[in-house]
Amino acid sequence: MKYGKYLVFVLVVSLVVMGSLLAGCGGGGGDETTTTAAPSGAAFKFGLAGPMTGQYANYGASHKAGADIAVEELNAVGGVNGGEVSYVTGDDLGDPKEAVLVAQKFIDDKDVLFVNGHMFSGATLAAGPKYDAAGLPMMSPSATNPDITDLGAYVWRICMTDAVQGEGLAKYSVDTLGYSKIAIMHSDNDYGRGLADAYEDAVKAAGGEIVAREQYTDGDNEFKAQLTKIKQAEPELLFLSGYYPEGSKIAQQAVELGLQVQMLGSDGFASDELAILGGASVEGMLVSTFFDYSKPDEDVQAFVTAYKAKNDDANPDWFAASAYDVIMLIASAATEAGSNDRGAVNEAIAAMDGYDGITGRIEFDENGDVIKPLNIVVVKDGELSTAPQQP
Amino acid sequence: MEYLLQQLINGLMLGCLYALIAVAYTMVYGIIELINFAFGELFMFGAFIAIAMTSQQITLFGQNVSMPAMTFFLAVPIAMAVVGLMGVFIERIAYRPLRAAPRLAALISAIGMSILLANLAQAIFGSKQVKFPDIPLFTSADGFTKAFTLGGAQITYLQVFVLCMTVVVMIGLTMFVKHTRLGRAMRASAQDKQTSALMGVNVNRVIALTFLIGSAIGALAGSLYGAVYSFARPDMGFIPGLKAFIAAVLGGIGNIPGAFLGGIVLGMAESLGAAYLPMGSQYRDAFAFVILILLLTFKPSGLLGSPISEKA
Repeated sequence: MKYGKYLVFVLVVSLVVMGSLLAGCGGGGGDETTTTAAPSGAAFKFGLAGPMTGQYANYGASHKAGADIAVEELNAVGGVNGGEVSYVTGDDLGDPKEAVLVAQKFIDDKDVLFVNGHMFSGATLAAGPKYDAAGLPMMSPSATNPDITDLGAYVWRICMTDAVQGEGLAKYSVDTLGYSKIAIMHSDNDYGRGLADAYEDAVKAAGGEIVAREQYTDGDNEFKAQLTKIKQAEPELLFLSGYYPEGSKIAQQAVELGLQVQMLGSDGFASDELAILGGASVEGMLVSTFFDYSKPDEDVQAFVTAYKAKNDDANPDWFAASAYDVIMLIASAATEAGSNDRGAVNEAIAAMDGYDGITGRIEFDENGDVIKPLNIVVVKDGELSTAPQQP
Repeated sequence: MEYLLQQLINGLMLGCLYALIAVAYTMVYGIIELINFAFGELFMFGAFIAIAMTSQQITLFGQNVSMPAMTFFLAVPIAMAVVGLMGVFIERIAYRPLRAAPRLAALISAIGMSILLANLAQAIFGSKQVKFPDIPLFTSADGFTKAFTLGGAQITYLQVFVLCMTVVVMIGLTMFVKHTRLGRAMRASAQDKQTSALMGVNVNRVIALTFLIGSAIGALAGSLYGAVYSFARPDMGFIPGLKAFIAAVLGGIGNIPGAFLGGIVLGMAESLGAAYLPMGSQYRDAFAFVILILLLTFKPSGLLGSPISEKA
């Protein structure tokens, strides 16, 4: 069996290669400081934490692009409490281990007033306790894990948890849209599964029926076996919980199999890339999002215009909008407090009644979790526009 | 019944894609006995070149570049030619210098090549998923993939095209290896390089030719895979490369009809496993490995392979 041993060796090597390809990309984080002119008051300087390089760098890029617009706007009106607005970036690669190092760097920099980030739940769970112990407020734009706000009084976020989103989408499906036979297809990662679980429970509670539930692995390309099963169950609505690269293919293959059903995608689908990749087959798909760029509100459109001007005419995604909202929210808290001081700012955030951001009205409950409306958009002519029926 | 038929067709079509890659894989393996880890990357380059040629515009190194937007049926031969030459070049710089070295050295060189090519693709095409332009012949006017119904099961025209291509390539290669002078030289070199050289076979040239053909078919498989799933991404070649390797081993490594059969068996197993086993869709990637382990235990030479005699 010399031959067989050789094959086993090859399989082991290939697993190692797969691992290193997944983990490897992107080495040291290049950190940079932007604009530091002579401030008249204490500077309003913050840390911007997220994956700036590596395989998740596209999320970090959106985060930074949104933050840049907030910084520019605030400086145009004289800064915050007379202090110039600037930031330092901390590259966590989306990795919990790196996130702890980034947290230490920000804590040691006494000029850093708060941290905008981290973006991912894993990174936030790792770094959160350090910020809390050091008394440096941090606010995540996008970490949805339920445990995050239990980390301490200095840890905030402005996105709703997966459980809250799942429940909201279930009510929307059953009560607003009036569907009763619903199928679920979800990614097998924590996000996709957690959201699908919450959705399934809430659909049943609302009197709907789950006729099929299938899953897939991120990076899969072939979904026809699962979709054929779903087709047999004859659902009225197919809820997809995952990300758009797989979602666009699921929609395409559903059409190829003749499965004609209304689809509803989770917030991981909320990107113009969905429409670019999916083409005709994603037209009419409903998508849950934390930011609807087609909303006619004045401040939303001002942000979209500013973003497009700086980013090749691309529409901002909800990561960019949330990064903007975090800064604007804390700037308004600091103005209320009247000083650019870590402790005073944290107290002012806790004392806020609510804040009207471009991602909707943000209110914190006693735990620091956010209460916020859900937006539904529909794919129409290759763009995401406000769906006719809102939750 | 309709359900079973649809799942069988899903499996057959998936199997065809695996088979096409496996045929190319097994040919190269058969002659140099090296797992060409860079194969998945050549497959990926095939898809990207086909996309670049059929697009109006594409982003290269972060810059927008105008492209000829030629027809798919012209773009694929170009992709095959370019990737075929890449394969020859890789063999020349990464494998030939190590031919006399222990197997492990060549294997490590192959892994290095694979990582190099994947990162090169990421630098050139970016890390985002790129859409494969619709092929007019297989797409209806309103942008959907054209399909027809057979006994209640849906089949797309593109899938039929892939099926035909796979069968043609499999038969063509089998004929080539069995009935031409060059094919005979290939088989001879595979058995014993030294003796073949003594008999006047230019072994280096034969191996280069094997890489040319194998890589070109890899590119064909890549562009068809990209077209079927409508995308390309720098890491797209890894899993199909692994599955093709399994398919090739299943069929009996080095055996071309065997690789075809292995691919079909694998596709069917994944599709039917996901369809009928409880929680099947969760474990579909595991089926391939389970089948491989069972086969290696009970019939290590593969479905159509002849018993293996270790070569000197």
